[in-house]
Amino acid sequence: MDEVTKEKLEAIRRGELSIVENVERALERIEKLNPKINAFIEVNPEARAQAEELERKLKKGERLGKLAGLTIGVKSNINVLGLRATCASKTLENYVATYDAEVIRRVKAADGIIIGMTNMDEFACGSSGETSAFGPTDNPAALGHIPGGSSSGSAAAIAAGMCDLCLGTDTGGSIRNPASHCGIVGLKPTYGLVPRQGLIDLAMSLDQIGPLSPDVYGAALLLEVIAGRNPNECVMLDVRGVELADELNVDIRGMRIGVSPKFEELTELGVMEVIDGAIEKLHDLGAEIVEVDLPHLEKGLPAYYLIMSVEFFSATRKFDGRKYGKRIEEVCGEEVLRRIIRGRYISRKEYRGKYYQRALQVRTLIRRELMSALERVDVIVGPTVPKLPHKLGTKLTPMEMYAYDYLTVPANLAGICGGVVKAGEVNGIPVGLQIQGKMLGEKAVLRVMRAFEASA
Amino acid sequence: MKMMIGFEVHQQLATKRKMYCDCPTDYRDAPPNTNICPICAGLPGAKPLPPNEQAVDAAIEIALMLGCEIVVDRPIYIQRKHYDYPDLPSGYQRTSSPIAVGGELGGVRIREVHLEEDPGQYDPTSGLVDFNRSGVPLVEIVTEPDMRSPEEARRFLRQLVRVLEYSGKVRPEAGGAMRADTNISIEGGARVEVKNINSIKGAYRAIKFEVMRQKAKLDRGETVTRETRAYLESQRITMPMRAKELEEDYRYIPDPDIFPLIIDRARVERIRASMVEPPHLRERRLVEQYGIEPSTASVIVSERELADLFEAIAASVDPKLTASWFRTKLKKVLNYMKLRAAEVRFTPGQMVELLRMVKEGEVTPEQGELVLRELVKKPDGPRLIAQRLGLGRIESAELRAAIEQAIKTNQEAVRDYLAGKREALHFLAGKVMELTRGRADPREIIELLRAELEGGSNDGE
Amino acid sequence: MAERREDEVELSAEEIIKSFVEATKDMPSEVETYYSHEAYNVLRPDGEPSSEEARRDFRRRFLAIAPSTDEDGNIRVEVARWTR
Ligand SMILES: [Zn+2]
Repeated sequence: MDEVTKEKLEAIRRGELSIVENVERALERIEKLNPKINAFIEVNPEARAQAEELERKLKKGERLGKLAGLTIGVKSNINVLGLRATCASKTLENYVATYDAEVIRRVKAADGIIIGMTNMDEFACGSSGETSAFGPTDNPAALGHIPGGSSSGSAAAIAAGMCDLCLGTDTGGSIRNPASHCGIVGLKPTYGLVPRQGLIDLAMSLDQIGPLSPDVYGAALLLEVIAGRNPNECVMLDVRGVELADELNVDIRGMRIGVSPKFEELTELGVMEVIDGAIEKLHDLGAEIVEVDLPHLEKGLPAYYLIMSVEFFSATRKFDGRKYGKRIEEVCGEEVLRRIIRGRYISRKEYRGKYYQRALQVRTLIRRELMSALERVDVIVGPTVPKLPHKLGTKLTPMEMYAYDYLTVPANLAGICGGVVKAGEVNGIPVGLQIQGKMLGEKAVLRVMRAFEASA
Repeated sequence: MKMMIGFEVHQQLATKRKMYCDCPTDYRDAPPNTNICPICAGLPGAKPLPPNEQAVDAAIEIALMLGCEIVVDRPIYIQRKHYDYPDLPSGYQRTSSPIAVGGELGGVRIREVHLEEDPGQYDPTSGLVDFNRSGVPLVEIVTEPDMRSPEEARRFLRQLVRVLEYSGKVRPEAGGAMRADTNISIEGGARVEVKNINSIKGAYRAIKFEVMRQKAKLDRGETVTRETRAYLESQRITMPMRAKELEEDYRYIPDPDIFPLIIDRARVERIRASMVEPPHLRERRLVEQYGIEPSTASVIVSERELADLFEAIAASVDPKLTASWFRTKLKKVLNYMKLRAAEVRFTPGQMVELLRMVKEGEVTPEQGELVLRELVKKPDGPRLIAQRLGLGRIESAELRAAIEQAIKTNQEAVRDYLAGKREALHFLAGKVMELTRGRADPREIIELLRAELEGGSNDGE
Repeated sequence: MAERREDEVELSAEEIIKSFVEATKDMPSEVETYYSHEAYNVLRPDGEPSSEEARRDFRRRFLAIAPSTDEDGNIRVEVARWTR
C-alpha cells in the first residue's frame, strides 16, 4: 500500500481520475463491503454533490486544497453538521450534529469529502470494536478477528479500501491499536496539536484526534490539514501549522532509536519476533539502536483507567436525556456503564486522594520516565499491542480487554506522539510497529515510519 | 435566641459575551433559547472557549472592594461542580477555586470570592427550560455565618448590593435581583440551607420564616436536621428540597478543558489603581474630608453617581451647603421624578452656579429649589432658568409696598396677630408671597412683617 | 432493573482499582499531573457578542433534536419533585 494516497492525489490533479469517480468508487465499495465489515454507521448523502462541486472548481482551473477530492471517513464521536454523531451508542442514536467540529471545518476547507461516519467502540470505551451499539466491526486484514478499537470502523474502512483517509481519536491507543490489528498506518499526535472542539469526550486530558491512512504520506497530509492552534480553544499548544508530508523522504541514518527491555516483558512472543525483525531493519537502514529504561511503564495502565474513568464520568453528565438523546445510564452498554460507575466511585470526596490523585501522580512518573528517555533518543520503537487480536465473539473479562492497552496508554499519559506502521504478520494477522516521539516530535516519528514503509 | 446566618450571594457580571462562549449576556426580552450555541447549551463535543478576561478582572475588583486578599501567584483552577438539575446543560457548573479570601463588609466577614457561570432558567412547576442565561459570568461571594438576626442579614445584603452596584461591574438591570443561598442555624439545631432566593426582601422573609420554623421545632422538643430547603416566593415559605444526612458530593475536578489562572501582583495593583472606592469607605471619607454629618454622607453615597456629583460640586462651593442641598432638595426632586443619579444630565458646574446664587442671595432657597427642579428636567444655565421663571430678588421698595398692601387689605389677620395668634403672621406672609410672585425670601418677609406690625402697635399705644 | 445492572457492573468496575492499588503501593508520592502540558491565563477578551442570525440556524437544529419543546422554544423537561 506504499504511497497510494500520493498517487491518487496526483491522478486527480492530472485529471486521470475524476473526483466524482473517486467518490462513486468509495460509495460502491462501502455498499458492497459494509454489510460484512460494518465499518460505516452512516454514509454522507451529500458526498456526491460535493464531489461535483469540486470537479467544477477544478475544471475552472481553480486550485484545490491539500485533500483535493479525497474521501474521508470520520469516527462517529466527531461532529459533522447534519450527520449523526452517535458515538455508536443508543444514547446518541438519533443525535444529528448541529455544528462542525473544528477538524471537520479544516478538512472541508482543504477540499476533503466527508464520505461517512465510521463505527467505533461505544463512546470510545473499548479496544476491540465490539462494544458498538451498531454491532461489531470485522477486521478486513484478518477476517473473523477484531479490528481493534476504539477507532475500529476507521481502521477497517482504510484496510478494506472503502475510503482514502479516516479521522480517528486516540485516548489510550484508539488509533494505534486498530491500525496495528488492521495493518495500516495511524498516528496519535502530540496532545494539544489538533483542536478538539467538536470531539465528543472520552477523557478530555488524554483525547487527541489523528489520521488513519493506508500510507505514511496520507497520515502526514491529513495531520497537516487538521493540526495547529485554534484561538477558540483553551487547552491547546500554541503551534501554527506543521509541514510534514513533503519532508518524509529523508533517510534515518544516524537517528537514535530507543528500545526498552520492558516491551519484551509485556509482549507475546510471536508479536515480539515481528517487532524485533522490524528493529533489525531500522538498524540496517542506518539508525542507531539504543536501550532505554522504562521501569514503571506497566503502572500506566491502571492509572490510565482511573483517570480516564473520572473524566469520562464528568463528560457524560450532559447526557441526561433532556436536551437530546437518551439518559446514558439507561441505555448504554456494559463497558460504558462500568467506566461511569468507576469514575463516580473514585471521584468521591473520600476516595479522591487515595485513587484519583494517586493516579495523577503515576501520570507524573510515567511522563517523566518517557520524557527523560526521549532526551537520549529521537524516538522509541516497539510493539503497539502486546497480543494478537482475538476472534470476534470471544468473551474476555474487562481486565483481559484492558491488557491490550499496556503499550499505548503511556504516550497518552505523557502527551507525546506515536505512530504505527505495519511491521509484519503472525499467521496472517498484521502486527504494527509503534514509534513514539517527543512532544511535537511528529516529524521524526513520520520519518522513521516512512523509511520503514519504503523499505518493505 | 442565638442564631447564625451566612450567605452565598451570586451576582451577574456586566460583560457583553458569556463566560465561555460568544453568546450575548443580555437575555432581557430574548425569546427562549435564542442566546445559545453548542457551548452554553451543552451539546455533545462542545468545548469552552478561553475564559472571558473582563469577567476575571471584574471579580478581582469586586473582591478588592470587599477588602479581600487576592490569591496571587498560585494556580486558580476552574473546577467542575457536578450535580444533576435541568438548568445545568452539562451536568456540572464551572466554578473557580477561590480567587480571593478574607474580606469584611459592615462587620460581616467575607470568606471567599469565586468566579462562576450561571445555569439556565428552569421553571420547576412547568418543567420548562431556557438556556439563554446559561454561561453568563457570575461572581459568588461567600460570607462567614456572622449575622445574628434577619434584620442584620437584610442590612448586610443592602450594603453588599450597594458595593456591587458601585463597582459598575455587575449587570445594572440585575441590581436588586441578586440571588442568594443562605444558611441559618439557631442554637441547639443543625444548619439549614435555603436556596432559590431572588431578592433582599425574599432573603429577609425566608430567614424570618426559617427562624420561626426552626424555633417552633425546637420548642416542641424536636430536632432540626441538616437539610437543603427551597424558598417559595409566592407563598413566602421554605420547602424541603432534599434531605441530606451527608453533604452532597459535587466531585470537584479541575476542568481539563480550561487552563488554570495565575493572578500576579502587578495585575492586582493595576486593578486596584483604577478601582472604584467602595461606598462604606467613601462614606467615612466624606465625613472626614468635608465635615458633614454621617447620616448625610450615607444618603450621598447611596448611589455612586450621586456621590461623584457631590464631590464635583463640593470642590467649588461650601461642602456643607452642598451636602444639605443634596440631602434635602436634590434627593427629593430625584425621588419625586423617579430618577436615579446616573440619569441626571445637568453638569456639576450648573449646580455650583445655582448654589452660589443662593449663597449670594440672588435667589431664595425656595426659588433655588424651583430652579433645581427645572435643572433636572431640562438642564440649562440656572440664571436663565431663574429669569424664565421670573424669579429673583425684588427691590426692597417693591417688597415694602407689598407688605403695606397686605396689611391694609387683611386687617382681620392683623388683629388676630396682635391678639396673640401667631399663625396669622404666616397667613400675611403668604399674601405677600402672592403679591411678589414668590420672588421674596420668606424669612425676610416674616421679619419685615413683624417689624411693621409690632412697630405699628407701638404707635397705636 | 437498571439498578441491578449497575450492581453487577460495579464489581467488575472495581477490579482495576484493586490492581492499581497493588501496582502503586510502594510508589513514592509525586505531584499530580492534571494537564498534558502546563499553561496559565489562556483568556479571551470580552467583545461584541455573536449575531442573532449566526445563532438562528443552531437554534432551529437544537430545538429539532430536543425530545420535547413548547411553542415558544423552551425545552420541556420534568416538573421538579419538591414542588409537589
Ligand atoms: Zn453560547
